[in-house]
Amino acid sequence: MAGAIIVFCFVGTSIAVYVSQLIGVRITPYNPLQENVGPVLGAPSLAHPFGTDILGRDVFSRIVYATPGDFAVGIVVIGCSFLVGAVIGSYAAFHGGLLDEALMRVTDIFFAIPALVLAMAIGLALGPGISNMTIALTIIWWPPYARLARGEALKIAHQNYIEAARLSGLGSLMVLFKHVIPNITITMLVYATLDVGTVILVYSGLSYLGLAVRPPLPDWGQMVSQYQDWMIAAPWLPLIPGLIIALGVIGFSLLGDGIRDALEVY
Amino acid sequence: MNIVQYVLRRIFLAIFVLLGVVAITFILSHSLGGDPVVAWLGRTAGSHPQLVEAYRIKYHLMDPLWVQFYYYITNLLQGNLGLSPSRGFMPVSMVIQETLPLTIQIASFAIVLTLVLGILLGVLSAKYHHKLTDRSIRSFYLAGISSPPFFIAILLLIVFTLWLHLFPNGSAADPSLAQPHPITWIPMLDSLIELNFPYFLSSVEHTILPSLALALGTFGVIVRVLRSSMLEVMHSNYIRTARAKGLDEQTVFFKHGLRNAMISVVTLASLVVTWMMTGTIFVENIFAYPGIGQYVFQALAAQDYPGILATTLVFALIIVLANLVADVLYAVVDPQIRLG
Repeated sequence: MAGAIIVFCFVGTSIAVYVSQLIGVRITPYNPLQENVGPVLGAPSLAHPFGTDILGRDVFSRIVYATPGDFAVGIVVIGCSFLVGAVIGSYAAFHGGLLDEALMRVTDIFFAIPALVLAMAIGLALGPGISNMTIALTIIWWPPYARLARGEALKIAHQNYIEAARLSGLGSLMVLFKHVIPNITITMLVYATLDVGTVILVYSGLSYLGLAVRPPLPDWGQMVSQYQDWMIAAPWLPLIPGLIIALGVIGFSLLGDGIRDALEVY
Repeated sequence: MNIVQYVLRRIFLAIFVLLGVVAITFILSHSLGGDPVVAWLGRTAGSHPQLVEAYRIKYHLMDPLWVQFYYYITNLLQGNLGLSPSRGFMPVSMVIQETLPLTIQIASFAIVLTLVLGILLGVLSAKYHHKLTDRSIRSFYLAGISSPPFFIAILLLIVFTLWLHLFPNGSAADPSLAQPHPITWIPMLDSLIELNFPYFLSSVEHTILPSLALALGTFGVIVRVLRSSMLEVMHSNYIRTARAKGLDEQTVFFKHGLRNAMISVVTLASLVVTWMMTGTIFVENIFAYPGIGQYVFQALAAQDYPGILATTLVFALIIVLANLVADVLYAVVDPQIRLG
């Protein structure tokens, strides 16, 4: 339950920010980019709940405006990995042989490099930016989904309804898309929900390393790395965005656990 | 399949995976800045025309790709990883030789801490499951694994160093102390061998907070897996048999339950090592600890391509080795794997 509420809050904020940017209204008390709206390194107060940074910008507004970016990356990376993984994994499971072996070995290679390090290297090749990071993360993220899809597809490969579909003359691709993939979706969906948080965590790391959003545009990870220089004078500055990231990740983790318990897939 | 065959097969697969990783860094080195010379010399390559020319000849960059790949691998095997612009064009292999042992120091401390915390809390959580203890442990580890490593590190630094002044900050040991001579290359061990106790104590002091930051982000995976596998094991038939024999609950829980549940913890080795390696990039930077993680951070800031590509390989090598060790351990503790 708690997970659903947290995720709902974050998703709601994302949509609100997105819509408000479309129609040109500001939903936060201050403009996230405007300087000197408060004191320099001001402590949290009623006017500025998360304080103000070295340029006098309102930290609360900056955090709110950074929400859609982080969530969009999480959802897009998981969505793409899910689709690619489901198709490749179940196809490999049904056709076996060389393709299957090749898939397993390729995924082995991806498992050997930490996602963040590979994303960093790919990010250097593509250049920094939120869309390039999304591409880099998707390149790395699909192998576990392919493995999961393969395992699940192997489990149902000899069920009667698959045999029946085959005997009724459906082509192998049709069997795959109409019968296999829909039936492995639930298990993969639970895994995917748990995984959105992990993507947000890794993305926040890339953002901390300065590979995602360019300042002055706000982003949680990047805010932590900028604000850590003032951790003596204003310790709340780097801690609050870090806490928000953790909260988002916890939300998805709890939501995934909840869905899993409700469906009892494992 | 006997154990020797099993281990040989694992080693063969590990070599294959490493070759794959090398292929990925090779592809990346050809796409960075559009010119592989840039990948060996960094972005400032253009300002050293004679170096560029030397590299073109040395690495056979005029030859077809598969010839280049051959020379790329031979160079790697000879320990030639390029020059690092972020460290004044020092050979990357030398930078790694200096920084990696320091990271091994904090990583080994962190692994011990992770195992102790993970097993202790996992056992407690399983023993008192669905009670208050279980629920508070669950919240604690969930907070740990959900927090980005830089958040945990900054929190520890603010509380323990800036407020409580319990631990020193920066570098791997007090720089005013005499450095031990490199024997094992790991300064903490060397100082112990040379009986240089002030240096040893100082390096332990500098290691505690970074390794705690790494461990707090990782121990949760062990608690989670150990708890669920413990609960599963305790419902199995041999536990019922042990109880029926009249063994006391303590013996049943620890000797029959925990020992079997621990098998699933071995499978987490690669996950734990991966998280640690990733974590060092942030944690070492925040604690100004001069290990390989800090090098990655600085190389990234300076767009030091040789440094990034080489550390990617080093990280992959460490993870593959950890996997290999875990696979062998797994076969040793679980006969079903090696016989099956």
